[in-house]
Amino acid sequence: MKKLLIVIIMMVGCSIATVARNVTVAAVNRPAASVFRTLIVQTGMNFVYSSDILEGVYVTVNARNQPLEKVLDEMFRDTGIEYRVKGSDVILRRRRRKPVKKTPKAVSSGVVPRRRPAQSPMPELEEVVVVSRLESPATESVEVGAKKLTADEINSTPTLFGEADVLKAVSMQPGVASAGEGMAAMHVHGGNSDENLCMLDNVPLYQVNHFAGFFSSFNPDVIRYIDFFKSSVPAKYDGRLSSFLDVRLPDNIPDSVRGTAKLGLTSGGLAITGPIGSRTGYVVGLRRSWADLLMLPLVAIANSSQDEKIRAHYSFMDLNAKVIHRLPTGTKLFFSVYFGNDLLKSGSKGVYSGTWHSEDEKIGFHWGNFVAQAGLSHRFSPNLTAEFTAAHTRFFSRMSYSDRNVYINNDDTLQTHEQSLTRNSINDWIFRGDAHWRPADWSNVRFGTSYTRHSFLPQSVRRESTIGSDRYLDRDSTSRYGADEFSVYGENDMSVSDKIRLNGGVHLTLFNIGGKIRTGVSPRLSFSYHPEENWAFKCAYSHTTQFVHLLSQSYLSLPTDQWIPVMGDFRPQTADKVAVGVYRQFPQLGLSVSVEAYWKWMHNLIDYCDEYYLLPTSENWNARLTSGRGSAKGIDVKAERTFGRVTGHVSYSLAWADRTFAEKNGGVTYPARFDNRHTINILVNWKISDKVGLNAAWTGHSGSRFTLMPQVWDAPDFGDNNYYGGDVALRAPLNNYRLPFYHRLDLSLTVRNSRGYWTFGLYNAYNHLNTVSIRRGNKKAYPYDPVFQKVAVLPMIPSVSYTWQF
Amino acid sequence: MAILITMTMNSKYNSGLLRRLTGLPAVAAVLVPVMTSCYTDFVPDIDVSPVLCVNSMITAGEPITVSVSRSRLYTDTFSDAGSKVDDAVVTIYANGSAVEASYLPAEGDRIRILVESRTYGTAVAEVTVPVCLPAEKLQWCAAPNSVWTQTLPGWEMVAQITFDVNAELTVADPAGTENFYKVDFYGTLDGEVVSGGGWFDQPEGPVYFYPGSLDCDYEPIFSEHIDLLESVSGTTAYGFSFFTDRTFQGGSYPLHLRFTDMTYNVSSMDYDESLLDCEIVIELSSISQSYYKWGLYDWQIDNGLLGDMSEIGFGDPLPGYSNVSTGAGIVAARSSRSYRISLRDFLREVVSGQDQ
Repeated sequence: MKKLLIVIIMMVGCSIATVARNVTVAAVNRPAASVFRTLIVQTGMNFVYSSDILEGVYVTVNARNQPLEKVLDEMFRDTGIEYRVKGSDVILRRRRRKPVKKTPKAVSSGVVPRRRPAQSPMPELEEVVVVSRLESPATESVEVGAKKLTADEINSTPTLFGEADVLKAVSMQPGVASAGEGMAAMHVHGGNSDENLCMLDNVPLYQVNHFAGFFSSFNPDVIRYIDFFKSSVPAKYDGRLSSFLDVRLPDNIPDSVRGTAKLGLTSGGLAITGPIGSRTGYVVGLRRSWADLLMLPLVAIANSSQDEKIRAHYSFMDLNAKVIHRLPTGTKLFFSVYFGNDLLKSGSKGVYSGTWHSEDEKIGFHWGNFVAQAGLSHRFSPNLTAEFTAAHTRFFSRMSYSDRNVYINNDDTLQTHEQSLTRNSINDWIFRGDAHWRPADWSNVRFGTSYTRHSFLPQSVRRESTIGSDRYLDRDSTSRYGADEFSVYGENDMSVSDKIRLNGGVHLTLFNIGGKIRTGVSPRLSFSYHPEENWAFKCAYSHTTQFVHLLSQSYLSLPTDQWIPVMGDFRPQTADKVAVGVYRQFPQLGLSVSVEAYWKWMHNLIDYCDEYYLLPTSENWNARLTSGRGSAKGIDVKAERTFGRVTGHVSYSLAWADRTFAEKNGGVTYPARFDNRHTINILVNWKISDKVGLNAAWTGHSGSRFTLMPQVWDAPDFGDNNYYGGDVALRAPLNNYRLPFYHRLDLSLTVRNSRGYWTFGLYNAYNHLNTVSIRRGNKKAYPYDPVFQKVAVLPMIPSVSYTWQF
Repeated sequence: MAILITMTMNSKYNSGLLRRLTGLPAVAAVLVPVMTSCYTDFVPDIDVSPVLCVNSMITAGEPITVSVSRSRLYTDTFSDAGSKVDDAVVTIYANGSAVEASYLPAEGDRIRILVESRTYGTAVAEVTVPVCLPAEKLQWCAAPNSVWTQTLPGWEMVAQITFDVNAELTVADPAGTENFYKVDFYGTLDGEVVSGGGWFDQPEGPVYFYPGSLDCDYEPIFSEHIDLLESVSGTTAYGFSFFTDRTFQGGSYPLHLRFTDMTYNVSSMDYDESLLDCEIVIELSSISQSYYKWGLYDWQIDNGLLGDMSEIGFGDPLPGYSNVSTGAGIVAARSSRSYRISLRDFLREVVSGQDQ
């Protein structure tokens, strides 16, 4: 390890400047941003531009050893974009008819300052803007298994109820499996769903789902882009084993107020972005479900003719707000808030005629996330920028139950009241600094440090009952843990030559809980070789460490899920992953093809042991857990077309995943639940005309694994009160049965008008009822004849929404 | 949407989860369209081999009986012959030595049951008969809920009484070991057992005595197994009277037992004290871990949410708990002490008090 650190430090420290102004580049109708990467590699120049001006800008250029300026002229001819070369920066902006005196709102590429025009009376400004590190195409980047998804791509992926969904869009990527029919949670390269770190502007979110997991918490209307890493992992990220998903909100100061208002079958939303003066910008997004309103008439009907009146309310909402302010010095200040929650209330109230009894039952569930962060980005020198952030992220879950009864017996009145309150939360206070240093044109050094104070409240239960004047405290237990996490990281992304690129780094973590310190040393290394234009061979190694894990007794995302720190004799979960890939671009066709292979070894995995539900309850969760290992391997093949009237991708994955736990399945290795051998995803976005677009997503994969217990044995008769006889399922090897092949087609049609657009969706368009489980039931015709039955859940579901743009 | 609604209407969904959800109408209204399932019969293509199933409850001081059967396909139509084993040989070992069938196990005995069959192989299970510890004390009181009497010419005893009994039985737990307990009860009338083990047998005569039910929710320790998932959905310990010494290991614990809805009816022309001779017999058993786990599994299947979740594909399936080497059957043990509550004085007081 010591040698490794020395190598990394050397890589970080080395700097050799090579700047060339003549370039060779060929691109046909490619996104402008992707062509920049080629030019950056060859010239060492930086491209400074507002991210919004390149939206939808495709360029065609064919130059061999031509001056950079000439190539840029050719690129931006007829695009409405002009450029200016200043030092080592190429500054882009929209072509303007007359000089503008106000302070520019444009943002930069994140590594260089945007400088005011010389005629401006204001002093020079330096501003830092975060942009995706995955802007360039895969043939030019060093990462394996990384993908940037834009808001457009997310919105053009058809989904259940027409709710555009970040996680479901990501699930269309090869190597990613959806957690279940219609669900948003995902499993990446054979990992568990809690092994994905989902972040909102670099701050972790623990609960990323609404409605038991059918919708993700990210409001797509306010998302700028997401970076998704499943094989190569930047040194900046650690803390999860399988993948890292950084959802980014807008970071620029827009010219004018713009927004959208959306009304769909299940939810509505409003998103507004705009400037406040010349130095401040904001974005606000609100999304709320309609389920509670839809339920009102149903509840009214149900209550119209019975003694018992039921209560019913369910809703979820997301609120995002972000303010960006740029100081005259160029320092950028930002503050953002996210609040998302689910609220479920139910119960009943009734006076039962014919009896002297009334009952008032209330059940309440409230769970969600709160994130607040504030920070600043500052440029210390033309080559050094840094961002400092203080953040608070909180997951909370509150479940209450109250049952009040009144019995009238002759002249006596007896009142009883049973109530319980269960809470579960995790609070993180995060302080971090991230820096980006360019010691040379061919070297990008990123380093940083962070400290997180975790407060875990896995479970707090208070249950009491009152009978008449007597009060009984049935249970009052609270378990609370604090933990400190300190980490440093550093990486260097180097263009060793015009054909070789290397990225090496390490993430070091100290995790202290109860005075016991656990360490995580997570080295990363990526290498890419570009033998010629539009070709790349890459390989990557990453080690990841995870200190917290999710305990869930169901495949659903429920408010009872508990995030638990690694404690006791358990060690942090770790994973080693090796990935190789071949990438080819066909610029004339706008087509890119990639083949990636990976092999992942997971250690110290934590899971419930067999028959955990027969052990003490979750207050002693360590007794219910067992540690083990897992492995996953596979090949992901993907062909993607990014321009033209028909865009989209086709992907195929061949995968294996297994687990081995000493206290599960008798210690015998068994296939993971998402051991989906073959997976095919097809996403087609067809721009039929300027006003009409059709999106189709077809997914098909080998069925997930399921534990089918085909045998039963006779239940014993021990003379108990609750003996009902019957059969008992005989234990069978875990995940011994593969469910039938799963396939589904989702469609959406977008029709634009002058004010906005309609979106018509069709989930499961050909109504194929996929098997999600197998149950033991009885034949319909012969109710006493037992039979196995396939369980299917979601049929064809149409949806419609309208989005008003202003 | 029409299709969705049609499917909802046609669904055959009748699992326990939905029953539970009827108490959570909001959840039901939202989730039912999602979770409303279509079931399709099918025969899975999977190889199985039957194994021996061994069930036995070993009680200190009583002969050992062993029930041997074999596992069978779930889809086999139920019949006794379907799981019979004709060639089984059962050998019982006590503390390492083979014993006769008439052997009476004692507390602390280590009993091993070996079953061999040429057709289905071998099964073995072992259990230690727990040592039963006497309760430190028993206190109780009874309170009438309703009393009805009538004075009829020639009838000296006519009454209908419903009442509750609250008892406190203090358990003294030995230190150093994990112990498991179970509470059972039954009623007697003039020395004859009238109920127990879920059955009720009322003899012919002038008295009707129904000893009610044990309100397991009244005693918190009967709920110690209830997990977060069940807790928040209002699931109670209904019918579950097992408990452990986890919360009072090596100490004592006062069990609060509430017997509700007891009924005593009498119609007699002559006043006869023996007609008031009703008892509640509380059995406190020290039980083996295997019995405790079996009880817990049984409760999960009938009352817990995990079983429901797995049935509709939202959770892992729950295999039956077994401590037999083949994974089929339970070999359990218990030692019991009985504690009697005589209701004679209480009933006399109520009957005579009302008369006055």
